[in-house]
Amino acid sequence: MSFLGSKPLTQEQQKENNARTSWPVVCAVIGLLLVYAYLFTHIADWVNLPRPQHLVEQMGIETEDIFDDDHNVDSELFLSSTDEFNNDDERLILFAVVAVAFLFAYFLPMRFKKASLFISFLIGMVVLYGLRTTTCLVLVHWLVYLVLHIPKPSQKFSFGLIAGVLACIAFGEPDDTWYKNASIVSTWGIVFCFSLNLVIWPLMLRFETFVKILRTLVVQSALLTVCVGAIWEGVNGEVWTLPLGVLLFFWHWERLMMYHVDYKSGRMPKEVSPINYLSIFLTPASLPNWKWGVTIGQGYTYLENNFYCEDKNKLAIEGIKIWGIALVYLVFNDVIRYGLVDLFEYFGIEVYNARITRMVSYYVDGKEVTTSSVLATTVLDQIRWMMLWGGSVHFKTGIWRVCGYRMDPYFNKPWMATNLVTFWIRFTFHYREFLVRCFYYPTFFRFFKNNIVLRITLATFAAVAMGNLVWGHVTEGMFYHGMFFENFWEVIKTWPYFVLLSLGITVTELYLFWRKPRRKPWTLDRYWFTDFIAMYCTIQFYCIVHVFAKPSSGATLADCSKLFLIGFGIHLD
Amino acid sequence: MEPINKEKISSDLKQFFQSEFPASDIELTDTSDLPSLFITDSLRVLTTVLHLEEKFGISLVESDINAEIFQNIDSLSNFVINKLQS
Repeated sequence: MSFLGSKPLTQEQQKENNARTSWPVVCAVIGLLLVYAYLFTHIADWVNLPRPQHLVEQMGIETEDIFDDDHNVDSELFLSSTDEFNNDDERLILFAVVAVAFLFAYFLPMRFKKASLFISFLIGMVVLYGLRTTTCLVLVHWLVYLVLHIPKPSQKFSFGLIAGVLACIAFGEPDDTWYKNASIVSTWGIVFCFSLNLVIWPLMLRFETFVKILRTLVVQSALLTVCVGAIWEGVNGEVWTLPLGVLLFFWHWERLMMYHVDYKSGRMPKEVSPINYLSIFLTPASLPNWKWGVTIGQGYTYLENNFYCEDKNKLAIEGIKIWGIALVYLVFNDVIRYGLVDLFEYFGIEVYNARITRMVSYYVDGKEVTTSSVLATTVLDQIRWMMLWGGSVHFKTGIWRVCGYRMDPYFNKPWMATNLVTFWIRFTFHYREFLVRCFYYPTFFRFFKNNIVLRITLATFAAVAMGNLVWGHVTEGMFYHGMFFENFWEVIKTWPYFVLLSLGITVTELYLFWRKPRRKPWTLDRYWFTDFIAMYCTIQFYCIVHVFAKPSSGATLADCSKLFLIGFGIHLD
Repeated sequence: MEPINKEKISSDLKQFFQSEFPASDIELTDTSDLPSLFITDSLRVLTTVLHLEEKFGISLVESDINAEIFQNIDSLSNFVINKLQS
């Protein structure tokens, strides 16, 4: 894994990487998708095969915590916020869309590959979410595109018209007769076309400040909406509800911020074709578990540098490998999670079903919690979260890979980290990249250039505390639970988690900066055991600060602090 | 003061990478791939940035942090030379 990404490839190199067709690789990708379909959908009935649970039982294997009521594997791979079909059908459509996307991306000439990803996404999106939601999502991205990339004069009229037509399909009310519908579409089209051509773009071309404000408003639209919405609810009691298409767009906002960073830094061309822009955000990899691992793919530069940067068969094989890992997570997550819970309880350590919130509630109720329970529960809760997320985020990464992108995994053996800096890189790679690129670097390269301690401390707090809390957790909390002031406040109350994490990472950075490491971690020498200790301390610290991040209702800061201290063997009660 | 040329910068950078990140048991040449072998995490990026700023008196900006500039000793030396000349 390269931290700085790779060097941009020439078109000739990309063509070379696209030259060789390997039928075994094609068959392997499709075959693995069929395995997914067999395990997670009801496709077995169509081909007269026993359902997965029956097959396993026929083999004489006893299983628990793997299958659901319809005898398929109980999966965390799902389609968010849609109920057009049942879960099995939705997954089947998803796998079919991924197969089509792979075949398009694999066989089409280079110039059509990115467009094909957008097209296959559209097909899946329309089937799974309906035409209106799809159009609404595309409309919002289209408007963002038109604000970031002002079209050429020859394109302005048609691009404005497209915005109007999309808006009409997304929000207009259809009539009974075709000519009335045609007039409605025309009206929307003309209104948008003239607004953009006569007001927005002329102002943008004339006033630099207007451009900056408008682009900032667009890029920060998600944060602004949730903050204003929460305050509005707090003052008036009225709750804003967003159209699903807009909400789905808002989940892209961290990637949009990274795209904007690329745009501002001059690392990408000012002119990007609409299809190229749309294929960055709207690909089949967005479809599964829309709200999870939303930073996978990052912005323009990362994707551009990693597109066909290796032979497409190698990329597809890497995709197959990561889908294999995803399968382990998806099938065995409950087995491993409950197995660990049982193991700890066997040794007499209460772990509250691997949930910190339960432990906090238990403590708030006045019951005793031991140090070993705090340590074990906080670690198991993170393992639970990783097992839950591992399957879907690896599946998403696999989609990018089989479609020709060298995508880094979201989780990369976090248990190998021997300090907090590398742990965070390994634990949430793409999210951390978002924080580093949007908050850390801008602060590091601007402030306290003559004082290393202040420079590193401020940059770390800007990213880990401020960026992570406000731009990461506040918005996501509101998208998940609704724009209520109470939700906003609940997230803000978790600030000690962000401060402690920032402190931990700052201290680690400074320590590593001054005390240069003399050996590679996990080298088999007499210091190997110190790596193990460092690994445990790193993971345990990261996990125990989550006492503040997942408070149960009724828990005060004092309760969480006492529980945190119990983890260190300090009992204040 | 002795003038700084590309050879001196290359030599300094090689010494810097080999002493700062000794874990990489690979011979460092002018064309060795730095992002995959030496500058593998953000801390190493920052350490390198701080060294460049301190040693050569140049000031880096955020957009300088990319794989094209940090690709190898050769590209990094060219970058330093260009910065010094500008």
